[in-house]
Amino acid sequence: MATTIFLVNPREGGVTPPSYLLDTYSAAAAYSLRQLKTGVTSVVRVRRSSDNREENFTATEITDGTLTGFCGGGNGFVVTWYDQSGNANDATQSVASSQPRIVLSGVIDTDTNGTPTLYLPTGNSYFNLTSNINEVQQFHNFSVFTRPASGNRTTTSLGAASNDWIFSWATGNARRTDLNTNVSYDTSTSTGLFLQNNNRNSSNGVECWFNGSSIGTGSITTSSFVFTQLLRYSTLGNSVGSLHSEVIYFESDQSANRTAIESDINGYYSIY
Amino acid sequence: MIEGYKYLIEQDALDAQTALRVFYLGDPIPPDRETREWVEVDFGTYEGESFWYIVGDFTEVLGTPTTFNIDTNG
Repeated sequence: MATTIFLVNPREGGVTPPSYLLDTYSAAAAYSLRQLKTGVTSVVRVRRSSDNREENFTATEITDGTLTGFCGGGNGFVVTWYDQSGNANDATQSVASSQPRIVLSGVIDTDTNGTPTLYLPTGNSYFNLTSNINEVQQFHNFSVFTRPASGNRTTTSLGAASNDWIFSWATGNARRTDLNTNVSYDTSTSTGLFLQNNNRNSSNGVECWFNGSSIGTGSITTSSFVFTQLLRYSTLGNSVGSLHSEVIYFESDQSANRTAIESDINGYYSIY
Repeated sequence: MIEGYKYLIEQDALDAQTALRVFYLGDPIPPDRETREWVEVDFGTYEGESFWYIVGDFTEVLGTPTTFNIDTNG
């Protein structure tokens, strides 16, 4: 008796797995409330205000009600913002009063478009990096944040308690790259949701883009600098009320990929 | 200006930090928690004076806070 064997192409008709930004580009450190890479599980660890219990949450669990169920009618604060680059450089805050907030009275903190974000309730809200980032030459940093309309309105992504801010919207509305010495691009009183990225290339040239447009160039020759913290500007931290959704740091100049990366980020956050 | 508590002796600031940790997080802190302190103790200077300080209003534990200045970078 003849046997008929059917050969099935497993690719045909199958479900294409989703791809994420960092499946294509390799970052040195990456923090977000959305999933950035295949295989990432938890994106944040949250402490709830009712009894200080802590749990990890995936990007899906932030939006599907799991996180708000955990927090009940109280607040949720982020103990760890997990590094999604694969380098395990998690951003942590073991001091309760310095933890950024993600849930207020049972409601997720969101930006103006309704996308989950981290809210800084005090000027001393920030994270410590598990490992210092010691940069010597090239970098490219992308961040999504909301600059508030009041307060000192300073915003920084990677930084430290003293010097070495990769980008800062400093006091006096100065937008600048600061690697111990700084390039000030302009002074701007704008507020709201922004996608900012800036780089230093192999020739020490620095440039900064806001919502896809360059705001200026310059040169910084500082030979080495050290980032120890995330969302930290000077001794007093970032502005109260600033919102921080995503920081992706590359240890190389990503000028060739800049528009594609911006497009991915803007496609998710609808910033401009 | 900062609202908080200013200490000229470091140990006094650390004692205040401990009091807040015990009051808010318990003693001992459950082992499955990564939050280890309620507040930070920072070192600051202003007009030549050096001191340690805690930011915030913790009237219930530390009494009424004061306001003070510190030198800042940036």
